[in-house]
Amino acid sequence: MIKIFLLLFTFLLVCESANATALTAKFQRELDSKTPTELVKVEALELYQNKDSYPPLLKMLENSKQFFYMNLLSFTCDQVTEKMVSLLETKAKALVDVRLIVNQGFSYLSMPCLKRLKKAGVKITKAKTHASYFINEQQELMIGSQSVARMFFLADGFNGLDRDMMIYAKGALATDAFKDFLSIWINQSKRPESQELKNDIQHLQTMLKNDYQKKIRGHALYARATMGPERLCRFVSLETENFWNEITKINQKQLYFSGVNVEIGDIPVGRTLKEKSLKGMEVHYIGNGRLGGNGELTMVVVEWINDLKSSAFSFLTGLLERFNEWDKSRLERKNQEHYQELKKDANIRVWNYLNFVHYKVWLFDHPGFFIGSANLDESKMGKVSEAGIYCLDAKIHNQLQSVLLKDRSNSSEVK
Amino acid sequence: MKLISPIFILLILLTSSSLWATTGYDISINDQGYDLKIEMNFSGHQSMQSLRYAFTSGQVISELSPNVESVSYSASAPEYQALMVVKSFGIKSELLSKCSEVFSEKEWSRTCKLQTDFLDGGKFMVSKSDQVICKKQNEQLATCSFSILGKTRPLKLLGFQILNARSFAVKAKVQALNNFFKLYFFINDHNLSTKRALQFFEHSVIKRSIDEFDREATKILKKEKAYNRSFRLPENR
Repeated sequence: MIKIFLLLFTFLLVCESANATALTAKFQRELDSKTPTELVKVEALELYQNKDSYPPLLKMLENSKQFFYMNLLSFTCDQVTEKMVSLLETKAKALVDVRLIVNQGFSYLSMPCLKRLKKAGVKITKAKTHASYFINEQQELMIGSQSVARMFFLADGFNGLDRDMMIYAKGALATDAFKDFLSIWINQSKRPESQELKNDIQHLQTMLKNDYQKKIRGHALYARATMGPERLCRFVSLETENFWNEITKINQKQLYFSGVNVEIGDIPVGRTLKEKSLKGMEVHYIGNGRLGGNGELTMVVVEWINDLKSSAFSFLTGLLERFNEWDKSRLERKNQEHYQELKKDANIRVWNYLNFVHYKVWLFDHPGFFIGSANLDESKMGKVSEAGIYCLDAKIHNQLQSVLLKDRSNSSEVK
Repeated sequence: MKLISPIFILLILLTSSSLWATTGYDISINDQGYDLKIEMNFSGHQSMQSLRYAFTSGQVISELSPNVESVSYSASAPEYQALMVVKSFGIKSELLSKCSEVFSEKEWSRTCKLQTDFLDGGKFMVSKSDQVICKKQNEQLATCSFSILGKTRPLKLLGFQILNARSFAVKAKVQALNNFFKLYFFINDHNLSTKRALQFFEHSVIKRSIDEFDREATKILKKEKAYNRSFRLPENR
């Protein structure tokens, strides 16, 4: 009996110590050696869900005195975003440096809106971006996967709109986001040797110097990782799948991840997830089923249907409804193929949320989590720029744990 | 006072960045092979991981080097195999190397050895190894030193010799110098833009020096059996 007890005790001790791997200077050093990310400290970290992200985003914009930069998949002018659009115009006219990087393809869906912003003095460039973040000179950063559109800022998670999340951070993460923004801006610029860009680079050098001097960046923070980690983060924009793989390797008991699409292919993190699921790690994926439809396209078609019902063109609603059903069925079949691929030779549980899940969140069993723009999708790897943050913070980790459990309970399991 | 002054001067010299070799290269080519040494100094804050990323990212390398189609890795550091697919003289080749790395917050090093028994490495090279050591000297200075040793075979196409081993070494090392110094400009610009790095490189004295090396070495090695060259960036470039 005593022998069994001792064995069990040792086993539990090993599990606990494995779980604590993430909270060591050694692991932080390993992450430095394998990924192009750097550990930083932030002063504030807040999680916002759905439409709750809009007021703090507007506040960030109001706070901006020198610059406000946005890197987004899509930017739309509508009755809900009008407040933000007007504020951007005001800021740009007041000579705040307002810049927008927007996805090349998606920009065609809102050309009049972008024209309006440009007229007010907002500088716009188009790129192959799928990121979602906002930064200002106050070292504030809002990051996640929301675009600027009513589907995000009216959503409550249950009303058929984008179920999404954003993280607000204040501190050195903004330096990394600034660098990422600048990198894309320069690569798209027709004049990469302009004085404006030289000033931007000078500013980046100053921000980095300040971070190191304040000891809120780099190996000066390693020891903090072991002492009840709080608000320690890494900005992840390059080789995201590789980064997920390194964290998944040390994860032991439970892992949640989510997204709009999942196409696991033969990427290393996919193999790691499968192997670990077979060895007893609980792996849950929260994604979309028929009820989620085709995201914003479904939402827009539903809006058209509702508008047409009380109009002279109400006869078109039938056509649109049939299109909607066809599109949902098509996507459901495609998703099911990907889910079966994910579950093949693995013990991964897949959940379809009752609305459209848009957030890309990874939750680990140490107090670590990732929130960003990238899906686990082999077909998109390296083709568009993405951005996210990995943080060690017990408070947000606990919040995310209950949020994801709740979403899972509002989902149906894929067999 | 007389004793203190030399000590004081020595202290200043020890903390001065000019103690480290300035950016440039040394190359020697003879019948035994080639020996290429490159030194790079980077000002401003450079983390070891950002240096490592620039030198190992397949995406960065292929954006800066038109002859490199792709770079892929068998595993993550510290021990792995690297597969580089290159296109030179219209010929596509797969070059497999065995690499190992050592990483700390102040130093990163990588050693790679070309596997001449596998894929296409042995067609062009008798042997090749390279080592890079990057060090954070202080908060405002990082240095990287490269040592590339090898011996080329004569370049043949359809059984006919196009270039002898020494001349082929010149062409190969011109390519290597171009690639390395494009990376230098990329890293010196905080890894921001390969587009900018290419523009800086095209207008640089380093490129002019590499072009000169190409012309001079090709001419000399037609008659002579050995060639040496050194180049250092002027202090205020």
